[in-house]
Amino acid sequence: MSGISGAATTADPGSPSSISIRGLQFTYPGIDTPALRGIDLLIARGRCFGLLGPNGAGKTTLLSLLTGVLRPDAGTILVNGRDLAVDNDALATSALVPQDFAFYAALTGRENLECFAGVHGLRGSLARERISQAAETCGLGDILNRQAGLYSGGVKRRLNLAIGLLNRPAILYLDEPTVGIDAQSRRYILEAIRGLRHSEMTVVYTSHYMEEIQFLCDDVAVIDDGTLRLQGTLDGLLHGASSRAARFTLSVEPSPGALAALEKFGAVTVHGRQVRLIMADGRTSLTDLLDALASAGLSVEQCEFGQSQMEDIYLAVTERRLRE
Amino acid sequence: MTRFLALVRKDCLLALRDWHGLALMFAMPMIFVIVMSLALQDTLRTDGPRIDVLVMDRSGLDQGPELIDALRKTGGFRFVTAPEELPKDPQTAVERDDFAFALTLSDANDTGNPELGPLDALLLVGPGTSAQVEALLTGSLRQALAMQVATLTLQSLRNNGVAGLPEKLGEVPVTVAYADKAGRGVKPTSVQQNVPAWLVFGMFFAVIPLSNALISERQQGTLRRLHTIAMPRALPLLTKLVPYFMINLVQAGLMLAAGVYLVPALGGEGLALGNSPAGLLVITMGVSTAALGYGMLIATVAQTTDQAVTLGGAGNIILGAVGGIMVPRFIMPEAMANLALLSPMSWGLDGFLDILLRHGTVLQVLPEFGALAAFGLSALSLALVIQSRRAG
Repeated sequence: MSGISGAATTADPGSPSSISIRGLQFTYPGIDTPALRGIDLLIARGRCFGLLGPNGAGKTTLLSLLTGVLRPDAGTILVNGRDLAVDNDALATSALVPQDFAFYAALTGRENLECFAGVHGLRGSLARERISQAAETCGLGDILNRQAGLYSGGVKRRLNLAIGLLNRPAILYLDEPTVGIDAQSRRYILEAIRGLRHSEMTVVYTSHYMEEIQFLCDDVAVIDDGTLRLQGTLDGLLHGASSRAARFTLSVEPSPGALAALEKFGAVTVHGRQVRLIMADGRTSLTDLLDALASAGLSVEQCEFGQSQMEDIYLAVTERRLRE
Repeated sequence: MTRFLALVRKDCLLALRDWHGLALMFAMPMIFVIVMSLALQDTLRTDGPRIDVLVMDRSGLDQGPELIDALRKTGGFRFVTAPEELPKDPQTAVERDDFAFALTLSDANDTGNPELGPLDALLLVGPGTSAQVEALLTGSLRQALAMQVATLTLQSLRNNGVAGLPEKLGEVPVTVAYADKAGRGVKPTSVQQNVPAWLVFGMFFAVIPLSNALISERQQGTLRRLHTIAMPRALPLLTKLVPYFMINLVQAGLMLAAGVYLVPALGGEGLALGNSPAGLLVITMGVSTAALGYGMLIATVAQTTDQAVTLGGAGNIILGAVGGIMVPRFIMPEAMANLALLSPMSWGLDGFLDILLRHGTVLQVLPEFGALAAFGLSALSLALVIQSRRAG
């Protein structure tokens, strides 16, 4: 766990959970390193749950296990109280919106929606109604009859989302649903997802964009190297004991030993001349920090001091090294 | 120069790491060299041919064995007398495909042409043989018979003078008949032999679009998405077989129609469809089952569409070369002909030939249908097992 573990608060254990994960382990065939090493997680019903982690951390593996694409080596997954290992029908109450454009490029948007509605067992007027609602939610009305492969990246993302809404899932898994699109499409998708909150849908959302997590999510977990590093409510993390952060731009790149003076105040991450600190004690003042840097022979060109952002917490938890 | 070398190095590395492309370039021609050389070796050698001709000497004359000895010296064919386990009737032996040709020698006095020689020769030709081989055999036969008549004439001249010469001298008669189950005795044509071969070959090429479709689904994530929906995991794979099965049926219909209508319109002989539409349908379904099962197996083994095209395309060509599509099985050496029986294309071809050339019925193609269906379903089962073990 990180040096900011004191800031984490778990989701209210008393609230009815949509998803309960215990001791989840998974290793891909032919690979020695486990992708997940004993994950315990509770995701409360009707909440938007942000799942963060660097590339290769295990987020997509976790979603694949939650959606039945993969089978765990060990551990249990209860979805609305039903064990996925023995009750495949539990999947009927959920939907995955993958990171890929997981639809048929040669078909029109409408044909894609009709296809997936049929796969969900929807027929006749009910299918038409669901298609119409999903298309409206995702702003696809005018272009449904065009070939999906010819859509822009933003429209493809919206169609990808619309397919995930067809079965009115109680749990919607969104795997980086805004990757590679323009700001307008991204904003539209985020608003659409936030609109789903009124339907009491549980949303599990993975992203590398911290501002999206802050915009959408009630609860957050950080996963790295197949291990859960942090779980708590977003408010708890941002306003908790270690909610204060400082960012410094130094005049020179600091040596590893030079920052020992700062590490006594909290979790430090360094990128070139940029130094971030998540403070362990809310009483630490800016003067304390500047004095510590000066005594280490480091001069500061620029500094920010205030409430920590999700990115500060994330970097502190996942540390600064590059991932494979 | 540095740029040039850097790009050359990059292209060399890419080429060397394209294992499937390299396999296509090296293994394919190597397999072809071996298969085609072995398959055709007997057609181009004179010391010991493979094409067997069943000989039944019913003349009871001394000239019968003499003619057979003379024929054996001509080379080009192997004249064998009927083994005990074969039916005594040459028609049945050829219909059963035990022999491509059967030669029956009779006493000319019994058959009405004693003036043209002591023996009457009836050559029964199997439906799967080629016109060139048939012409070669009848030529050898006529030559041997003519030599015999010439020898007898010289002996007669020596013994009896001009008075001993036969009243009629002319071409030695060789009667050629064609064997089929319907007993029509119609000579098989090029279209009759080629359409089934290339039809089977073409149907197996469903392997490529089928495997590409599945691999694309896997790569685009749609298969993963379908797996998140509560339904049997095999279902998205099995439904993919339906359109390609229909396409195979349409493909077979169009190719047969081309043989019946298009080839004659272009000046060739028309395809006769035989007597059993149901038999044609059954064997078409069998070939499609085998091709689609094989295609599904390729799709699960291959990681990319490029690999599927390489594996599927090269595999089809090899199955075709081995299975008698490019070289008729009857002219292959025995070992190759036996190997050909392992190719599902060979089973499909036999089934179509049973209907189109031998005028068989549904019953005649059931063994081939069974073998093709068993092959297709086994490949499909293996594909489903591989797919279920594939992570994601």
